[in-house]
Amino acid sequence: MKDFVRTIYFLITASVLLTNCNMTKEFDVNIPISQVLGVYCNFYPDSVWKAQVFKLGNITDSIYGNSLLYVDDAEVKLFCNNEFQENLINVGSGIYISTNNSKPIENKKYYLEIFKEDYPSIVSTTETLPPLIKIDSIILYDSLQAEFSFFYVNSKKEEGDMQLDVFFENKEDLAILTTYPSFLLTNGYTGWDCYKYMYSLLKNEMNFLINNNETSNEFQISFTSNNFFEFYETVSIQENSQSGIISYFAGNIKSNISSGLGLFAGINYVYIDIDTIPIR
Amino acid sequence: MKKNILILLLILPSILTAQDYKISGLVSNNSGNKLIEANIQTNKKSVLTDKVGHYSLSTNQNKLKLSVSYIGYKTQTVSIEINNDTTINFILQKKENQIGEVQVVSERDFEKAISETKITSNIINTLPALGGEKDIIKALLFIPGVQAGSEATTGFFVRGGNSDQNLILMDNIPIYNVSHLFGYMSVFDVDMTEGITLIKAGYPASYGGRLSSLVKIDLKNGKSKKTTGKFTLGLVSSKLQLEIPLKKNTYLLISGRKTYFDLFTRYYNTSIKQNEGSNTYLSFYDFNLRLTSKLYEKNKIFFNFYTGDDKTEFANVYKIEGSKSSDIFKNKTGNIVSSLSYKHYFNKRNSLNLVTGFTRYRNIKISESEMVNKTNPEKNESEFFGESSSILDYKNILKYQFSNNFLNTEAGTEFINHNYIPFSVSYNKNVLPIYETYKPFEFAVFVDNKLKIKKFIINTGLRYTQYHIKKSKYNYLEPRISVKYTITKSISIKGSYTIMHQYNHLLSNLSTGTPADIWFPVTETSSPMRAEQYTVGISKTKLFGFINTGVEIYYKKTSNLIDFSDNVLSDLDIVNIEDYIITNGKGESYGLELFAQFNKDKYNGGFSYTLSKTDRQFEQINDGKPYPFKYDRRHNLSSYIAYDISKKIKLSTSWTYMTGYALTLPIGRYYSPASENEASLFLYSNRNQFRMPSYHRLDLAIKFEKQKARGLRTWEISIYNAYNRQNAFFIEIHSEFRYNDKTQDFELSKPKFWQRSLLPIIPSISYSFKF
Repeated sequence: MKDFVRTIYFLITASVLLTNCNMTKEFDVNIPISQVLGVYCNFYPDSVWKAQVFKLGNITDSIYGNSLLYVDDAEVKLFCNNEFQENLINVGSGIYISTNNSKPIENKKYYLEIFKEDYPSIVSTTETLPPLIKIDSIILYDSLQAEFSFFYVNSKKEEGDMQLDVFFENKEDLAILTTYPSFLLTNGYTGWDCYKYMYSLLKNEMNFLINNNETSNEFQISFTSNNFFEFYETVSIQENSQSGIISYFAGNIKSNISSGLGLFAGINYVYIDIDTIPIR
Repeated sequence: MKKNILILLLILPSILTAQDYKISGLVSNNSGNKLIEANIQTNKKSVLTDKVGHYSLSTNQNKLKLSVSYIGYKTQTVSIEINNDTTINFILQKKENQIGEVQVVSERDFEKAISETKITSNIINTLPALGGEKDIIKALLFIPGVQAGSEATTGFFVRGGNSDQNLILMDNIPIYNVSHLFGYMSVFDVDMTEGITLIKAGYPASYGGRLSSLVKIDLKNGKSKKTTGKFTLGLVSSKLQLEIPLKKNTYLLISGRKTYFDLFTRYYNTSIKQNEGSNTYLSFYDFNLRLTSKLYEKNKIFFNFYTGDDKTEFANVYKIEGSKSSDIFKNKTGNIVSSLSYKHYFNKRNSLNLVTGFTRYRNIKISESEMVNKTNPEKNESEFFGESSSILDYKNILKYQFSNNFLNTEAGTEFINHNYIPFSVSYNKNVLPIYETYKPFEFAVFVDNKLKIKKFIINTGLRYTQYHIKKSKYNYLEPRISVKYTITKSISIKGSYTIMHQYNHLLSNLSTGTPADIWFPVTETSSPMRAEQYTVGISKTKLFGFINTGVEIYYKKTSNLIDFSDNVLSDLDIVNIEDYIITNGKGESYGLELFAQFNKDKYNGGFSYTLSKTDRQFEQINDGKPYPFKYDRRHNLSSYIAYDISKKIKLSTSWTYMTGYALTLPIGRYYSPASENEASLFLYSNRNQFRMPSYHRLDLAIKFEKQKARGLRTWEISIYNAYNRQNAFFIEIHSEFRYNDKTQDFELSKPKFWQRSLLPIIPSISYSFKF
């Protein structure tokens, strides 16, 4: 009896103690502020040069409102084929544009240099407009023909699911695909779906899974550089990684800006209107 | 002068014909286990027993006193009168309540304990434990040079090595996963073991395949003449252990352990599955069977079998407009280990040992989603995804041993057939899984010699290993050299040099032993890992008459290490797992280890301190510059004291301190073009640039024993983390919603770093009865 009473008393005491434990508290760590610049600049065949310059913010600053991070007093230099082309001019909100209305031209090599007082200067890698690969034909299926990845093999078809097969004209063009291996398929409403070229050189086709439930039937296939793909891949990983113990392997965003952050990449594209393609 | 010569001539014949008598025999304990290097002493000389517990000495005295001693046992002294060669066997009795001994070796061999340490099950049962669950692996943390991973986990790190660099053997067969409940406790039942032996350097050549340590689980052999047993009721699990004598010299030991709270939650969960809600189900079990038999005088057979599993299930059930949806996640992790060992003694000096066995580890994860529409069954949907990882090894060892008073030799060979399925994926219950198999073969030949020359003991060993996988073959020579010099009876110095290779890796981002762990073999594209270690140490026994102490320094260099690259999600794209692994890493670790152990009157205790540094270097990480290993803890201190308040009440306490482990934190924030209104991207620091807060913890335990008519009853009350230290388990950054009195609205605060702790003060109680 004595042992039983002793046990009950102990268990009551234990539960009282356990319920009063607070397991979270602030972690005091001194993180010095780093002076780092960054730039986002995607260039297209028919667009005027435009870049957005920003700086790294303090880790404990508010996450809303990027105006504090925009840099409007930097010097942004554009180079073409290793020769200085022009200074891009600031129009506010960290945006710098070409006042000559100059646009990227295929087969020319471009890079940016950015300077700001009290900050290390940053330089992008040399980039070009990816060549447009000629499309030979397009086939639209109302059912899935190919295995897109293991995750789609046994999933049920959702209403509107279709497969878009794009065939390219020459096998020689495939050599370009290995140099510019990433593709983007978007429509105006659903945003980016980024695919990396994973098919062997024996095939000259690409298969896309699309859903025609959206009101827009126009799709854009974009050809970009590997730097572009790696940037967005690492953004996706970092944004999806959970906090705490699982985030051990979350790393930095892949950037082609030396001593800086961001992305400088060319994008070429074609539009496809699926309303004009017969369904098989 | 003439008189003296005459006396000399008279006694000379007797001197010349003085006969030497040989006294020999065996020294064992009352369990029948031979005691190696027990001390047998006369008033003129002393000898030690050999590896089979045999001693032999010669004397010309007819009447003498023979005294036999062995640490942990009562000394026996006999007075004998002999006229011819005599055999005298000794059976020593254990000293009662022998607690506080981390090193259970004779005083003369105390210096061997610098790199080899044994902890008996008596000591493990005395130490305070989390939830009252005595853990044989966690007891290793009291040894210098051994560090814990995360809180309440069984992963441990020896001299800067990863947790997969420890070879853990159960009766000579490796066991790959030693965790239950995500690392909360180990798979070993203390009541089935005599203790645990850890070797950190100077490994015998008969062992190989891991870089950092050798851990031997010393299983019990039967001894009792009648059926005995013990059952224990704890807060987490309960267990029963039986020892049954089958016939003369043949014993059967069985034990089973299981969680029991899942039996209650299972009933509750069944109700939940029929209605809305979430439920969690956690359970594990262990089963051990051991058969030992002595066939005639010269043969022994041991059969061992272990199986254990962890089951986890999380389920969410919800109803929407006439349909019911459920998401279920299940995980099952477990081991099976079995071995058959045969030992034949040709004579007192030569023996042959044959071991054959297998080990299997597998880990299965299943994710199922189902939607049942009662009104429109055509809209029923289900999804299934299953993945698993497994290893199956078949191992055979043949070993010959020879020993006499000045030479011990061991030679043999070892074969291991591995079968790895690192990842297997299935998308349909009815469809065969997709997997890739690796079947490497490992072979080794070894020889070890231990030579005693005056004050030196020189140990030279050589191990030749070969590893075959597909068309690749790796072969290496691994020297094992150690030298010990006895300066005085109580002071000795020792040094060792070792080369080791490892042919597999554990890919895990955590030390908890989670379902994320994958064992992966060395393939054609990755070279075996290599370690080279130098150690020097000095030890002294009986400092101030009752303290045994020592200090050791080590330097270890490793190469061909592997790690995950940056930017790897916890839920890996396992089909392309090799894309996420980086190889050709290097490691360097060095340190100083101190320990002291005492046993005086009613007090026993020990103290260990390690000062160490460990770095890693990969070309693809940290721009190729060296960075701290995650578990590079500069200071590591462990201490314990046990006190016998009375014969029935025993008190023990332990205190642990560790420098926080290294981690990578974000140091800046910037916006993403995909998220126009949020600065949601982080810039991270160099790998492992920051430190977690220091870890320290006090544990207490008190035991009440009472001898009843049918056995010994024990109540044990323990308190884990007695002063409720909030030891950080992980760090995260986030904002909090707070109510602003001025604006009378909720607003998001600025982001801050927060530490989360796992285990607060945890009292526990357990009951056991030994019959």
